[in-house]
Formats: sequence, structure tokens, C-alpha cells
Amino acid sequence: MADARVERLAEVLVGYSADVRRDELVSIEGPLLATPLLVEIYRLFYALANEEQLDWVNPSFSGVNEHADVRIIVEAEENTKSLASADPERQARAARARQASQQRYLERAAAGELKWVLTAYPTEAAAQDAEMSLTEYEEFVYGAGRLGEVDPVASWRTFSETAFAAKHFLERVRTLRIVAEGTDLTVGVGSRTWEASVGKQNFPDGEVFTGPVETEVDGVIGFTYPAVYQGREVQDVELRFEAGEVVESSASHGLEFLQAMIGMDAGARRLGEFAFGLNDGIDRFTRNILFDEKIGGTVHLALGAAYPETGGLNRSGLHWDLICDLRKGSEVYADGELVYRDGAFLPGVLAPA
Amino acid sequence: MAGSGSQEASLRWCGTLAPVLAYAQDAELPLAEYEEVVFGACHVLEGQDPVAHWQEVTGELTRHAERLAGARVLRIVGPDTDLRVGVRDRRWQVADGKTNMPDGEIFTSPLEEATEGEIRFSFPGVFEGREVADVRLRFEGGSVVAAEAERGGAFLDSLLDMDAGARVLGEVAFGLNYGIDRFTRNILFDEKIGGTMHNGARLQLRRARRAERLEAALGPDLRPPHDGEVYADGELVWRAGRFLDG
Repeated sequence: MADARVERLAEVLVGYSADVRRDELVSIEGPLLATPLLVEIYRLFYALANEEQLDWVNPSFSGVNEHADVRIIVEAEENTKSLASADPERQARAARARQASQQRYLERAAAGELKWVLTAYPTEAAAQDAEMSLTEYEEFVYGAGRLGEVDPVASWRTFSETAFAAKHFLERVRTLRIVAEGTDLTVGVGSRTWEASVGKQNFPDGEVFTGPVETEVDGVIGFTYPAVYQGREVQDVELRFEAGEVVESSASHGLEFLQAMIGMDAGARRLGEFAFGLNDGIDRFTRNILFDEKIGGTVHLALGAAYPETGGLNRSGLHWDLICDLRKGSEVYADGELVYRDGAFLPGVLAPA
Repeated sequence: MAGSGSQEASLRWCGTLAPVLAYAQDAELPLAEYEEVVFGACHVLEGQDPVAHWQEVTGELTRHAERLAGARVLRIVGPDTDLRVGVRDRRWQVADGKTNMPDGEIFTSPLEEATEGEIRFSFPGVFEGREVADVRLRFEGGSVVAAEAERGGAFLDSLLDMDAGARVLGEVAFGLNYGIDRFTRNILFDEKIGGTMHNGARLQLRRARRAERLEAALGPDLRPPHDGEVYADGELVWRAGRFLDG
């Protein structure tokens, strides 16, 4: 509930001082401490803005992706559900507006022109989502980053050997088939590049991922954990693919939001990523994709934008990771041969590089 | 009613809640909207007269409580629900903003051996931060004899097995605060959602205080479109989330 004086101040600033007109593009600036006033100004903006104003991407945002050599991005939220009641259509629209800048970011990163690392600072809100106390959650976060070890960097280098062995093995594979309860999916990965994620772009890290062949995904997959996107949860997601495209989707809760996101643009119904989670220090679901997608013994698939460095071509305003736990009763076949069972590659499959 | 069961006449108490970020997150709302929910439920928004409002509530709830005073058996009928609860000679209490704020329910403790039938709860039950979703219970001779949940079934079983009293209803109540219209994962609010009922499987008073709070938000949603009904000794008294006499 806003202080009535703050609401009034926002009205005066927008309507009188700045005298914002319908054909004007608006930049709203201020620090975290001014949140109550900034929220009221944004509320007015969203209530009054026309389509052109809504779709404008501030060049101070896109400029970072155009000109920076390095981005260090720290995520932290005080309320992970603050957008849960926003209109999904308008959220999709905002994501579409940012897509060009986002694509530039992905391309420059793929070309080696832009280095970036994304991390999450542990907050009360994230701990609450993880159903842990803040102290426990901090242990979890720093443990997943191997920061308790004498030499964390050496430990990540050791991990790199496993991740690169997986990369080299997977780059010889044309088709992966994932079989688990409620899941039988084939994914074409022929001549795509697999990236070993070893703590450079995400921290913590631990996965090996690629961009699947856009037209070679067939079958059904059921996702184990709630799929979380922008603070909203969709439960028991099941997708059926034909020739790379989602042709059927179901969920026990949140189906409408899932379908709004899949309908965002043409690329949103195709896969942009397929990956194996390899961080055994992450053993539980905490509702934060930075951690969840790396749970050792899982795979994840992302609907939407591909990482260009993998050779993936899919473009979209969406990149939504969905996780399937393979730690129990599941198998992965590479070109017909069993290579992975119950959450781990079989002995001998991953030869040292 | 949420809170401790010990209410000595020499100790007056009132439990309330400050709208903080953690609760807003559980309610899946931004803080500003959550504050509206909380202050709206308390009837303390600008331009409202809270004391006059709660005095009016006292009159209305007292009327409903007096009407139920002579009832021997309540029958609750709804989707997957047909439950008989014995309430003969039990006192209906009016919760009108004195010990909980916000408030708005009438409640009693049913006869311990006279609950029979089946009930399906429409909101998740939340107990100490853990959720049990889509709970169905079957009662015979006052005790839960079968329990099912779509999620959290093992946790539900462990609660029911806490001791003999945990399988017996400690409370049956009508939520009558129509200013609370959504589930926010906080029992102080959820149990009062206008048009719902809740049944607390509550332990005996001699048990630890912690255990008493098992009075979880297990409330069958009797609001439209379900068209749930409640009969008192065979007479229809509640339909579509409202007492029939208004």
C-alpha cells in the first residue's frame, strides 16, 4: 500500500513537472532506496503508456550488450513472487521488446567479444523459496560453488575435466533418447557443439549443454519439478513434440501461463537448449533455475532462444528451462546405445580427454 | 480461530500480523498489494471506520451463532464431501476482532465421537510452512480412518499419527470475512475467507502448544460455483457461501 503522499508526488512528477506526452519515450531512473516512489511512477507509466512507449528499450540497457567487454551480473530478489499477478500477455510483450538486445548479447558472447558471469546473492526471499533458513541456504549456495574448499579454483578445474569429457563424448552423438517414467523423447544433436559450463558464465555452475537440431525433437517428456518463470509456477508440465515443435502441452496448475509463454513467438515452441546437470553439490530443488538446472543427475530443456555458440539457430524472447530428474529409474541412449542410467554416465563412457 | 487455546479470563490477548515481504511472497503478491489485502481485511483502509465495522460484525455473527446454538448435527455437502458433525450442547463462539485481527468466523468444538463421512478440502493445508494439497479425509466414529492427499501425503500421515487426538476434529467453523477473498498461505487470514468452512484436527489442550497449531487451514470451499450446502438438523442453513438468513 503506497503512502498517499508518494502516489500524489508521482502524479505531479509525471503529469505536471515532466508533463509526459503520449509520443514521448520515458526513462525512469533512481536507486533501490527510492523503490516506493519508483513503483508509483512505473504504475502510472504502465497505466498510461501506448504501444510504442511500452516497446521502447532504453539504450542504457541495450548499450551494455553492445559495448561492454565484461558483464558481472548479480541477481537478488526481496520478493520472488512480486510479478506473479502481472498480465502474462504484457509480460510476453515486454520480453519480445527486449529480444533484439538479448540476441545481440548472445551473439557477442558467442563470438567471444563479451564475457559475462551471472551469480545469485543469497537473500531471505530465495531461502524462503528453497524452504530453508537463510543460514542453511547460504551454506547450500556457497557449497554449490565449492567455496568451502581450500582452493575453489583448483576444484573447478578438476570438475572441468569431467565436463569436457562429457562434451567430447556427446559431440560424437547424433541422437539422444531419454527414457524415464512418463518420458520417451528423442533429441537430434548431430554436428552441434556442446559447451562445458565450468564456472565461467554461471556461478555456481556444472552442466554440459547444446542447442538441439530445431526439427529433430520427437516424443513426450514429463518434467519433475515445478517450472518457474518470472515468479510463476507451472506444475506437472508434460510436452509432446513432433518434428521439433510442441504440439501438445499439459500441466496440473498454471497451464494458461505456460500456453501464453509458448505462444509468445514462433521460436517459443521449439527447444533452444538440451543439457545434462553435473553439479553433485546441488542435490535439491530450490526454485532458482541458476541452481536447479545444474542438479547432478538431471537433464533440462529450454523452450526458446538457443545459445549461438552451440550452433543452435532458434530465436525467441523466451528462454525457459524445464528440468527432468533422471536419478531414479531412467536411461539415456546415444545413437541406440545405453550410456547413462539413474543420473550418471555409465563407467567408461566418459574417457579422459 | 488461530493461536493458543489457553484463554484465561485474566489474560486478554490479540494476535495480528504485520504485512512483511515474506508473507507477501507466500501470497504471490507484491508487497503493496499484499498490504491492501491485510488492511482491507482489518477494515482499516482510509475512509473506513474500523470500530463501527467490527461492532456491526459482532451483531451479525452473534445472530448466526444463536441460530446454530440448538443444532445437534451439521451436515456439510459439497463436491466429494458429505460429512456429519455432531455439535449438540457445544457453544458457538463469535470471533469478532477481539482475539484475532482481522477476524470474522464462528466456531465450536464438535462432539469427539460423532463425526461421520467424507470431506475434500479445496485449499492446501499449511502447517509450519509445509503444504499438503487436495486433502480428502474419511471419518468414522469421530476419527479419521482414511486420508489422502495429492501432495504431502506422508507429512499428513505423520501429523495424524502424532497422537490419538490428532485424528479427531477440534474445531468446526464458518469463515465469514467476505473482505478476504483469496488464499494467502496464512491461517490467520485463510480460515476467515468469507464463504468457507474449516475443520481443525486439533490436539487436546494438555498437549504441547506447538501441536495445537495443527488446526490447519483445511477448509472445504463452499462458495459458488460449487454450491455447497450445510444442513442443521436437516434444515438448509447455508448455501453458496452464505447463511440463508442473510
